Amino acid sequence: MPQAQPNPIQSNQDPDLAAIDRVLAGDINAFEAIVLRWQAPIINMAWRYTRDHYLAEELAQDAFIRAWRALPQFRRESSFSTWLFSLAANHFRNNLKRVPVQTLPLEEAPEPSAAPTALFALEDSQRTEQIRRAVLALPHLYREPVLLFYFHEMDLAQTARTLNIPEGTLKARLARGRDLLRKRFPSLAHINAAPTTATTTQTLNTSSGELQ
Amino acid sequence: MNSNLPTQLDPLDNILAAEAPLLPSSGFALSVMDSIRAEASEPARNFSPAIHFPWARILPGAILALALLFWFLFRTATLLQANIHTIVQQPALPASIQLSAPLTTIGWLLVALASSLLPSLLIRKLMGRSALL
Repeated sequence: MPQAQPNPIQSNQDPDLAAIDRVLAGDINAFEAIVLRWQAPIINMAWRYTRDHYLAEELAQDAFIRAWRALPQFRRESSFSTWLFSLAANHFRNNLKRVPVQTLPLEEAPEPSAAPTALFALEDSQRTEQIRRAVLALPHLYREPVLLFYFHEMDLAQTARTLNIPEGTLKARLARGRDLLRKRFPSLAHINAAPTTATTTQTLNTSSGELQ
Repeated sequence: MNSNLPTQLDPLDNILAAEAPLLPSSGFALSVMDSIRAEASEPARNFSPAIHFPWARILPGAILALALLFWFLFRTATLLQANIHTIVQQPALPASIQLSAPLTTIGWLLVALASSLLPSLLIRKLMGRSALL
């Protein structure tokens, strides 16, 4: 069972830290609060790596077990979510190396049929899924930045922290990854850009314009 | 809201960012907690002591090897010291021996090369195509 010294000052402010302190003090059941709070984000993150619901849940479960084992090593230098996302990303990455997701090479990924002329056409689930799956066929170096950038709602800083790389490096890899996708799906260029919703715009706190 | 932010999203951004969230299945948290409780109740697994370096087995062999090395160095030095005059004052060898000396050296060189090549060929054969050699 994890054992480390709890920090009562920090624990009062953050529900995760309070739960961690209880787990470290020997209360395993306190970890359930962490699982309940973070299960949806971690499963969704795994889903982006796998595009397979069953596998995503399996990997997410493993990630939580690994997090529980590694809890004594959490130094509280970053937020718990950053630590958890990094740990999960490492696990998903390693698993992908071991059991790669079956994808077509990027150059063989099918172009969405019938050149779409409006955003509603791209909202068609089959077509959008083709493009989303094509992300998994990107070269390893660009795949994960693209996956995590959109998982983190286009928050560069958070993505860089999860990947533990400088923001500049992340921007370069993102730009290259997105270029590869645009080249593969040239029809994307003919679609009018869609207006952002308020929520999405707020998440563009580091401006997606820098990447284009 | 930052006024510098773009008011329109790239179509690629729209597709990749606007993904419907996946809901965890109802028993997910329970399943995770069951696994954790099961692991916590396995003291042997969680508290297995670290495997210590086998000094007791290694030390006698290491001491013997060091002793042999020192003995070899000592013997070599002693022999060299004893024969230094013989080597320096060696009379001129007959022409036939002088000619055969390089051939002997080449022979020894070939033996040395073969003895280093053989193990590598053997390893390659044993490892098959996965060998990096």
